[in-house]
Amino acid sequence: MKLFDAIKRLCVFSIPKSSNEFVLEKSQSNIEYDVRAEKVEKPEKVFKTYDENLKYIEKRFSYPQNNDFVIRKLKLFKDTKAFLIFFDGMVGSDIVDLAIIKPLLEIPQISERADKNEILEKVIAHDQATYQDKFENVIDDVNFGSCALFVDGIDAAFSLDVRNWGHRPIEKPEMEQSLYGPKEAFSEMLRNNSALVRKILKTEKLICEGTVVGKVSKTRGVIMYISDIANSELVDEVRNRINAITTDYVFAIEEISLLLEEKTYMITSQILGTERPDRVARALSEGRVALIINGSPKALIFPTNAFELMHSASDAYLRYPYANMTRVLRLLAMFITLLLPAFYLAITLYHQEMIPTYLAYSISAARENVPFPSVIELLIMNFSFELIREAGIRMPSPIGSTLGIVGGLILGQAAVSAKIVSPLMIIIIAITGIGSFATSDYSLGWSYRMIRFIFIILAGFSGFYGIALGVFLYAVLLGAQKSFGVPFLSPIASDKKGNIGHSLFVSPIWKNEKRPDFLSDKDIDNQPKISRKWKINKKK
Amino acid sequence: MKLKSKFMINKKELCCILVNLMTVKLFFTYPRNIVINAGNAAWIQTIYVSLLAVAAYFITIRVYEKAGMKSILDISEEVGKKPLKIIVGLILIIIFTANVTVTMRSFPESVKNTLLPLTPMEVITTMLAAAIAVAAFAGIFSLSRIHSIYIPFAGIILVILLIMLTPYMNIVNIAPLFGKGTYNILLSGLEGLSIFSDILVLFVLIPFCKSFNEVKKGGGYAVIISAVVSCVLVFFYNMIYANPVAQEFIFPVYQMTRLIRIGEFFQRLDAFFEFIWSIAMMLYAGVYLYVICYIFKSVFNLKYTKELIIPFVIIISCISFIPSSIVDLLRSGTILYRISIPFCILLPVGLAVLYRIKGHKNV
Repeated sequence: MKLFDAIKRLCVFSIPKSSNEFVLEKSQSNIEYDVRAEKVEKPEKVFKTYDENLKYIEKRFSYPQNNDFVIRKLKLFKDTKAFLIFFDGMVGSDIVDLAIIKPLLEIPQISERADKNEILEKVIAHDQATYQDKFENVIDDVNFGSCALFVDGIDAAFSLDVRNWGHRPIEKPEMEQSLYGPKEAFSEMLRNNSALVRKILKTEKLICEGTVVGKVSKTRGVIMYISDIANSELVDEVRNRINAITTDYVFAIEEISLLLEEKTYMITSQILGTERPDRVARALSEGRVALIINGSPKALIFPTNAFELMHSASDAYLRYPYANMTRVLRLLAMFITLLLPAFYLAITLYHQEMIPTYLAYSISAARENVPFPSVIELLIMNFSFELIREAGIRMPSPIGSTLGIVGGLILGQAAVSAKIVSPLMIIIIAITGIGSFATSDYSLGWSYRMIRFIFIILAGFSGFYGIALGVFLYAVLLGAQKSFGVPFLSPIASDKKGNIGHSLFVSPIWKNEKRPDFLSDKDIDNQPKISRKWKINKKK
Repeated sequence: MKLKSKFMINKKELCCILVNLMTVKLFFTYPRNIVINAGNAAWIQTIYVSLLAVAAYFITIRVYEKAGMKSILDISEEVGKKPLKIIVGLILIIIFTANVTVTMRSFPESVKNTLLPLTPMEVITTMLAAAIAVAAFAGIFSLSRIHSIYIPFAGIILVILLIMLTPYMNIVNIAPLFGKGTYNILLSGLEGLSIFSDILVLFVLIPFCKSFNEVKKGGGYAVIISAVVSCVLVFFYNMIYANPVAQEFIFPVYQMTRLIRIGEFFQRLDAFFEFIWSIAMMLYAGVYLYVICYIFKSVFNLKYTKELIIPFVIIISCISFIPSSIVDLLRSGTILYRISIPFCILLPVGLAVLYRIKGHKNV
């Protein structure tokens, strides 16, 4: 029978059975509350009656379709009706029960004509409670984990900060590890992060100005600065730029960084990102401005310059000879990662006279059976190295390290044995790779890796002349960049003596009498001229 | 308490720009030309010319002081209204274009001879043209910052190279002391002032600077540093090569760097020297391109500078191909310097004097 059906299906046409076919319509225009559109009519103020408020809230929050949205109806003293709204999972149930619902149901001394102040002062047993007249403010608070209380007869809602969602605890920094100094890193909680900075600075002049980014996501953040130090024009500029972001959703601070940069097509980042509260605190004490947003374990620091991107957070905690040694090492690492492959190529292809004859013979012998030209060989190896690095990041950590070993040792050795690449090339790539790992800022490391490819192509095309051209263009474009109105090579542009030295090297802590002058701070003195009075006292 | 919204060129940056403009040509044929003129006394001639240049600079700046922060174009407009401004502007454009055109040809020639013998000249010139166009797009402030980082670094490299050259110096090479005679040193030697002719750029860049005091000091330091560098280089060239040989080399400093050999590993550093010099040359040409476009914009009251960069870089590159050979190029370069020296020295002084006279009359 089945065979017959099969033959029949093959030979005779039959109308297919109807099924549920999903077709996504091109556009829908039945949005009831478009938060972006200003024209949609929304009640501005909270209604006075219980029913009106409840009806509007149910509609606005798509209740009961919205499964995690909770409306808890209550009857207060003398049958006064009230209801609480919140999102399940975003609030602390214990706090809601003990500090809000219990007092509302149990305390009888609420008068019949109780107004919003009376309820706030006498009934609600919670530290962070305010009343809001405007619906939008109430809804924003609820969306951000607060709980709102509506009482019949009162044309305001009580917004109660009972946020308590699951979050990561404060851990060690992952990207900016240091043997010295504090070991704390930011987590995803906004208030925890701002508190981490505040506990370091301990001054009431530290302003944590609230801000909201994202028209729909309304991601909350704080602009931090020390009001006595930071230039108010800089603060205004940061505030204006952040307020002028009109994107719908912001998920991470890195996105804001991309939206705030002046020249997004430039290879080098113009904003410093850090996961260390101590680094933010230090930057604020110099007169800079920082931004922290909820949900991102990182802060942005404005403005920055090309030299600061090369600095490490631990430089400040090391004795200055050691710190300077690490700075020199990083500087060398930068030159190695940018220019070593290009120099190797230029010398072996165009300027063989620069190397001793026996070394030239040795290089030539090593490359004897390699089929590719040096440029292709170098590009292939660099590409493979980047591939291993990228794969290592994507893999779970135990496999990632194994992949590195497999890629580095086995593939390299196999490639040399198969005479696809020369052993010298493996050495060049390995040193270049180590150099790129020594870069303190991850974003800067990215830019080095990209520019390295350009230098390789230029060196392959025209030797030292090509490299000179590349260095010149990179320098000129870097010089034309600005970070929040400050030139990217700013310490060099200023009149102060020894600016290049100060930018590249660390000076003893007692010599840091002035704040960076390119920030035009309100107070330029970092410490008095004599910061070690014990020395003078001893002489006396 | 305002952020420095308008960035200015400070004393150090101005000094570095001018030092680069004046000294970068020393690495072409300048030492050779001096040796051809004065023989073994080339170094004496350079000292003499340098002293003249320093004196001329301080006289010029003293006369110019009254004009304050006005550029040479501004004071020409005040002295002779728009027609004089256009005339002065066109003279400046012609001088600077001719100057940068010679460089745009002689530098790729040197690169071809020393670094890339198999690469066509057109490719080298096109790469250079593209680089200086980008530099001019980046603007004078970017260029000034890069100058202030790069010129001290290049200076250190030059000092190291000179130290490495000291074993090759021979006192016998500077005898007879007065070379081809005092006439050649004192009168024919005035041609050597051409190396300082680039100081004219200072009088165009004045509005970009912070104060006249900074301009005066920056320019003064630049002239003195350039004078010292030119004297030292010519002295080394005189001391290392005997007179007849010294007249043969087209790129004398490059030739000297070829001698360096330290141990088994460090030898033939000429390619490295070319690398350092190449960047200095690109900075030089970039500044000139920007200045030419800026003058054109100011003279004809245009709104933007950037739109002029591409046309000017194409014109300059095309003109640079006119000389048929390097000998032809050297000849036209020499003629150009002879014509431009009087303008470079007399134009700022003359206009400043006229400005002072006009100022007195108005009072």
